[in-house]
Amino acid sequence: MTKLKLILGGALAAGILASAPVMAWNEGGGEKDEATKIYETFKKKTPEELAKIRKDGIAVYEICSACHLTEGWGSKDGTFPQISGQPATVIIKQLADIRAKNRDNPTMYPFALPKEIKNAAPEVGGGPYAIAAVARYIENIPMNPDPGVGAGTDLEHGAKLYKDNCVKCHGENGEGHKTKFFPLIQGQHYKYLLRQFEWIRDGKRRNANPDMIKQINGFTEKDMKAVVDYVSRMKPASDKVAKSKDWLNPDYD
Amino acid sequence: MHFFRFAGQFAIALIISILGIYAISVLVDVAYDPTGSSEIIQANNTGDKMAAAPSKQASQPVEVAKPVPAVANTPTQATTPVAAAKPKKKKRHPGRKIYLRKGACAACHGRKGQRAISYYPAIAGQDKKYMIAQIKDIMSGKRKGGIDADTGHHRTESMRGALVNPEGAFRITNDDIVQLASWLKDLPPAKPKIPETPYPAENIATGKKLFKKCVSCHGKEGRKPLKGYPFIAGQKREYIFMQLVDIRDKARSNGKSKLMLPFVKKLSNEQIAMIAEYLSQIDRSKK
Repeated sequence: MTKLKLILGGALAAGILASAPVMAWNEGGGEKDEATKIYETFKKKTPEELAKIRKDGIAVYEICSACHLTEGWGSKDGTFPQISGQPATVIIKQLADIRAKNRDNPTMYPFALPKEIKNAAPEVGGGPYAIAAVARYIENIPMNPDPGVGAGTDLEHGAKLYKDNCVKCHGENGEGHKTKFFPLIQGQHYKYLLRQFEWIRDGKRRNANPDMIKQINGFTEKDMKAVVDYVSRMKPASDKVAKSKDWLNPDYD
Repeated sequence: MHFFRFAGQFAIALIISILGIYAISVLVDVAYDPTGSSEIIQANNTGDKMAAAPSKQASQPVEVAKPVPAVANTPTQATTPVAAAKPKKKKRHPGRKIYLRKGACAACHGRKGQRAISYYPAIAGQDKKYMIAQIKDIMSGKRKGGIDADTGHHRTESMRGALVNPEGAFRITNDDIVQLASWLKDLPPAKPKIPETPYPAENIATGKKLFKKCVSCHGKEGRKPLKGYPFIAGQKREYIFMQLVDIRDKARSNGKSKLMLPFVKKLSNEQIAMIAEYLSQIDRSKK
């Protein structure tokens, strides 16, 4: 009996150890919580205070804009995702994850570091406030009306797969879920979605949600392309989208 | 029956844990560099702490240090007021736009190629032929470099990630690369990055002595390289250090860098650090 208990205990301990990387999807604590708390306080700020927060967000976002563009639209070829319109909670989580090396991204990594943010925007600093301010700015940038899409040959199949597998978390129209950190995926570039989907399925994206990994386990190449094509064509609410695909962000004139 | 199930689970869990612990130990090994580069890691760490501290005092050193690069843009204007007489509307070089938009180069190397983030190199005023070759080699994977302890990837992977799309296609063309390099080569080089505590004079002296065998290719003080070879005077200490280590350890062997092997293979990390300290303090923005 003692032997059994010992084995049980050992298995339990080892099991917890072994499952730690999977739990890294959404661990509490640290900068993510701090930045989220600061972001929550923005709701009670006066217009003057909000104007200052916006200004700080612009200062920090300038760093991001070198790759994601001043419009936050990323690139059609999927190298850089669209981030405009993404809920602040999601931006905060991803930034904190990249900073904590919980999301593998060597190109972006240095830009998530407090030191580099502070160097670029010394007046804002590189701490959780900078993250909260930039996240608020990003979620309010008008989105790209013309994202990269797939071949469009298998959309019905994609729609069905979406309904059966994705709606519960990502919403009817890919709008995501703010408080649960489920990202908005509507109108994201097809090639970016494809790569992330593949990385999540194959366990390459460390901060992937284990529920999603399970959910898409049986997806074939064809399924993946179909559902991702369907998602890339989802239209965000009209007040979230820029009037023209030639819109340029006036904050960086 | 139960016993076997538990035992099975235990065995699997045990294997996973052993693998996990092994992986951690490997990571720790990679992150730990007993000699030269640990200084850099330490310096970065203190920088992080300072940056995270909200107090005004802590932010001062950075603010004080900031005006220095701004000055770097002006010396020619200050000494030669005639330059102001030039026509105001200068036609912009096409390489600039590729640098700022398509290539997203400014993100890491700074808007004028002078203020690069992290340990990345300053590239303003670099040799054109050298830059063309390096950009191509980094995109194709010929130049990889050692493993970056922070990201766990080859050092050049961060640049490759910006220039090669998820499907492996190059995001900039050969023409773009030529335009980029021909714009960058004429930009004023960065001023030396002054460390918070100056490098010891004896390090600089030893570095200078060790550098003697490098001048036949890189020129006196690293200011006059042969065509196709890089300017290294005034480059960032961390960058020179890492490249020398990578070339010595054969982690970087693209293009002409392999010709350097006989000259660097016997250098210790300490000696490399001294060469890097010496070179990093030479002001290429002055003649």
